[in-house]
Amino acid sequence: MEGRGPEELERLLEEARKVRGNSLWKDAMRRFRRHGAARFALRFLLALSFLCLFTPLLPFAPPARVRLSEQFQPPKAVFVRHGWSRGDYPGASGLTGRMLDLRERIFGDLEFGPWMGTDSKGRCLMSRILWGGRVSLMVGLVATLVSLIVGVVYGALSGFLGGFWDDLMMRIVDVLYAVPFIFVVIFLITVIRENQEVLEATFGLTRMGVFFLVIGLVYWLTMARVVRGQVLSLKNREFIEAARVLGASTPRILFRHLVPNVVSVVLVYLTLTIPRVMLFEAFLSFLGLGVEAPDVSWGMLAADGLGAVNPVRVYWWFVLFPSLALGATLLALNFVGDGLRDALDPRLRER
Amino acid sequence: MRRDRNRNLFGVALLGLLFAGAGLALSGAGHDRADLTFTNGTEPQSLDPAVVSGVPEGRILRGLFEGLTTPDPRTLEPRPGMAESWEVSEDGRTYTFHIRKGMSWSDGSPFTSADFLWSWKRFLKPETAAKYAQLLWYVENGKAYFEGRLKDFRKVGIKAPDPYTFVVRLERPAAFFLALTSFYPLFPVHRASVEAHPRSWHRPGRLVCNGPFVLAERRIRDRIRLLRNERYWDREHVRLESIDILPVEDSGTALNLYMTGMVDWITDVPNHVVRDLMSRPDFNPVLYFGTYFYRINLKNKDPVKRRFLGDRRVRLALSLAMDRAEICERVTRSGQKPAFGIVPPGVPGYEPARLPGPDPARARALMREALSELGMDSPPTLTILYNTSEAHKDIAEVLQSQWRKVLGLNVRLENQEWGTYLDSQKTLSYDLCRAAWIGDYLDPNTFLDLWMAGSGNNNTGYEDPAFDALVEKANATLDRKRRMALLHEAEAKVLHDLPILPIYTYATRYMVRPWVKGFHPNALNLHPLKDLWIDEELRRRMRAR
Amino acid sequence: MPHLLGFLAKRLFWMAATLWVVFTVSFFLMRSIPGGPYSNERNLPPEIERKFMEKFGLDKPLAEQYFEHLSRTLRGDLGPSFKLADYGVNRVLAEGLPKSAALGSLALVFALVLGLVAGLVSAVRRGGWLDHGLMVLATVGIALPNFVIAAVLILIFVITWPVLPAAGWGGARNLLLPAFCLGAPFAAYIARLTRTGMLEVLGQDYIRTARAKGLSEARVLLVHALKGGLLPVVSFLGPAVAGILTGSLVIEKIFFIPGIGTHFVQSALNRDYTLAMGCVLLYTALVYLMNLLVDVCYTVLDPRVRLD
Repeated sequence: MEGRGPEELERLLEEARKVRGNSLWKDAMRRFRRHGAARFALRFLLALSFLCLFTPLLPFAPPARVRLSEQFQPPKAVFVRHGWSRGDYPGASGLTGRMLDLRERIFGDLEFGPWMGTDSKGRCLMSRILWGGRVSLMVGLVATLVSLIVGVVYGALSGFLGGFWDDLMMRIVDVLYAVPFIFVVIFLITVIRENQEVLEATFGLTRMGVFFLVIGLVYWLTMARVVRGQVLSLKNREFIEAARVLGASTPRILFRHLVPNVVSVVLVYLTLTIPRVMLFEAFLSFLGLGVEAPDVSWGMLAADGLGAVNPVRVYWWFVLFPSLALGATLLALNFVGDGLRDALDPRLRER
Repeated sequence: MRRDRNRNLFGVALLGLLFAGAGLALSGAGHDRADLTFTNGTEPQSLDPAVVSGVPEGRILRGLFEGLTTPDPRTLEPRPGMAESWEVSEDGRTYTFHIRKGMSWSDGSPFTSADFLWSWKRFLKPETAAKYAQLLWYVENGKAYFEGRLKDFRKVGIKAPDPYTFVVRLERPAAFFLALTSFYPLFPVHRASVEAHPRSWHRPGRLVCNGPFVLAERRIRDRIRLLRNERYWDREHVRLESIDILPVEDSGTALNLYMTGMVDWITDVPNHVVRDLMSRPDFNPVLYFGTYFYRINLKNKDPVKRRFLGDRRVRLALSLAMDRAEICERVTRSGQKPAFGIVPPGVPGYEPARLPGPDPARARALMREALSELGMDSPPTLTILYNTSEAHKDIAEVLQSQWRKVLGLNVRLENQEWGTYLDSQKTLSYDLCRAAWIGDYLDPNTFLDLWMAGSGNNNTGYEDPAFDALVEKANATLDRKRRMALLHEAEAKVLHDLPILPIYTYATRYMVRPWVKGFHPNALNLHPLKDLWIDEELRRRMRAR
Repeated sequence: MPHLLGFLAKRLFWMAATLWVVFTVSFFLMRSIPGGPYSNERNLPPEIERKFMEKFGLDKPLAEQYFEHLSRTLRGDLGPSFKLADYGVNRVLAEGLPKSAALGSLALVFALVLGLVAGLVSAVRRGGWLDHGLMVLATVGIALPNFVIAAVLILIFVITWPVLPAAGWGGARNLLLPAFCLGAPFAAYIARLTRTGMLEVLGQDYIRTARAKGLSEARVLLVHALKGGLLPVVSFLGPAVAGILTGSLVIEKIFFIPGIGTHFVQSALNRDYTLAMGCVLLYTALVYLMNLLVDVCYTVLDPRVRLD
């Protein structure tokens, strides 16, 4: 031992760290692949995202076309007909527009459906669910990411710093919790309405962009609290003490030692947040911020089903299919979350 | 182990606290059923007749108070109420009411014309801030007193020369004034109790009233219970002992309550089921005195849209391209009728003016003509503004699709929550905007004076002195036939200028059980509680089935 | 004990400060959005609108209104409600809160019992059919909007098989359906969080120690593991309890419950400034107290967490 200098020791340690780091990730990947349900769920999600992304290419009816002669039709097995028109997609441009042009060249004016029935204005429910998926998945993804980043960083910092800073940071969260978000939302709409041109020109901020931001900013609060709680109970554990004694810097302890240990709770909370975010989107759309007709989203479709189940007549397909789309997506998300947690959490390895 | 026990105790105590709270909140909530139970749409803003302005409030206030006259539920003609008779002077400006003798308030104090004098004075006082104060601006010096320009109430044309005579002198003749005296804002209130408890006189136990019922109980957003007023002058004709009024806001909930027999009358039904309800004997929509329409902003802040919508041909093209029948048959679906004018049918002796029916070819031609003359290649994208609601969205989506099909017009929809929507409408920050108007009294004037310059409810930027002159002339005319002809001319004028697009005439959407008797369909959808009664025999028979 | 008292005093001070900040932010936010309490389908003539504003002091400079409102609030009077003109805000909230709280308590009991049992069972039967089944159910509970659950339950228990009343406030029977619907998503959350927390704990040394000591499996699970597994649930419960006690607009509408959930949204939409402010302050105080309770619970459940 004595013959080796400190440089030598440092080099060996570095090597060891590298090897271990690699195998940890490989281990995780391997474990995730072994998790049957999670693998299946991930494939389902990817397939769904693909389907929604390429919906404009599929031969279905335009989601917003009103055909009052075909109201309230229950699902039909096979049905092909002419009558599709590119003109029913006002405002579709860019990639979506090009996909629609391509679809027109492939299928002409043919359209399939309505396999999931029609709604109160004779619109094809299936087409609406697919187009709605584009919006809903996007909302879920972006808003959750915003809440994740802000929430984890904030919560971990607050829990770790403790004392006065923790108090202050948590009180800020309390304030934000309490300020009624409806006022915030209405305030934002007004500001945006009045400065629409300026905002779009200088910041590229569209209504949709603001909408994502608002949702993300409402949901990071709970995330921050959950992470803080977890960090609070972890930070007195032996391994943190050890790191501190060894002189690790604050950010290092925070992000190398604490954050990885809250991943499992964060993942679960995340899979719980996405559905709430999607439902919250529906509520906001009702207040006038966010998705506007003729655009659709799953939350809006679910809300359209309000009143469809009543003592006089039950339009089951109004409720069933949107709920199914939402439910299946969320279930898949949960399985993926489970799989990821098992794969990342070394403590569960021996089980 | 002690820590463990502490922890368990902590949990048990928490649970116990929760249950104790639940029990406490529930205690005293039990109820026996009233003779009649109905849903009323929303919690009334107030039970003070002077300060409110809504239909649900009116339903309750007509049970608690009574005006100089009351509307006959069949014909809506004013019939004697607190006043047993009245005369109108030759010039149509002086109304003399003879108050019934021997009447009393619900606390036993005598009722005299001084009560009306005091109540109307209070109604006009600036501090009361009555929402309907303009009703008494027709009275001589009424507006001056309201605005505080006139301090001396004796100069206002309201007098009570003796306990049983009440005289009103108008600024100028107003043919519909008698109908106003049966309208709830002009109901009398009890001076002694209002003065004794200025902020709480309308609470149960304190409210002193002169109508067929008294207030027995009131719980916020839960229920209001009325009991028969044994001191009411016409109590022999009041057959209901007790009434429960539920402020149910959700029409689906109201329907569930109705279907399970918990209420006898609901004032609205959900849209989804209307089609299936049409075949039921207890759902009978009748047209009533309201119009659903779109406002057109004639003073748009966007110069292109202002020129575009400022062109009458464009507005006419929009109207000609609308298929109103499709909206009524497929969207609203419950007995509404396409509206081609602003005044709904149903005013005796009035011939409504009408717009031409749908004509897509002419609409396209007009639009082409207008566009080329305005030097526009294509029409600008317009936005329909509506307050967030499924029903409004449905109609806007259908019109959006009709206009796109017929005129190639691109229309966006924008929904705003209630407060913002009202503000946008008032400040003319819209292109096209959903609106509705329900008549207060059965006279075309309630739909026509809206479009006069300076009317608080114009909100379109429409101003035309010729139109204003027509309405004013009509209302100063005493001869009914001549007056109606002038009003017709005024309506024709506003339909020619078209600052609005009428869409449909409202229909009632109530459901009422067959054992509720004395319930007469009418154009104002007025069903005074006083006239209702229950056929117990029929109720028992039908319940048993 | 003095330690605990000091802690409470500090938190109460923070609570007062938070309330003030919330008050200020909400006040100016509220006043900066379009519309006002006099807005109505029928516009008031300008003269009448002016009188209305004078009557309620809305014509004064904003700063003056702020201090007036603040000083009145400090005296414990939340002011008159604009849209429920016969009542003060104090009275409106005092009548609604117990009802919301009763409903919320029952919902909370549902949520806790169902959620904990489901979470515990699926953690123990990890990977089995019972686990998957329960977690699918929990996901459905979160994914379905609660008005859909409510509509289906009404169809079954009120219309088809009439055992429960359709809506209204009255006996305990009226509360069963709304409490279940209100509690369902919370139950689902709790189930998932309990399961995660339990799995976390079950892998740890002290559980193995407990097993090695020969304690019965039931005792290990219910006493040793559950305690640790509850941590994430407890930290979720703080805001959730405040949320559940203040009710829900949708559930209150569907089941016609005169609670305060509706006021939270409706007063904002109606621009009923005073009532909205009352709701905000009440909610803040509730969230605050619940979180305080949670923090105290933490120390009871996990001795390693220190109060400060």
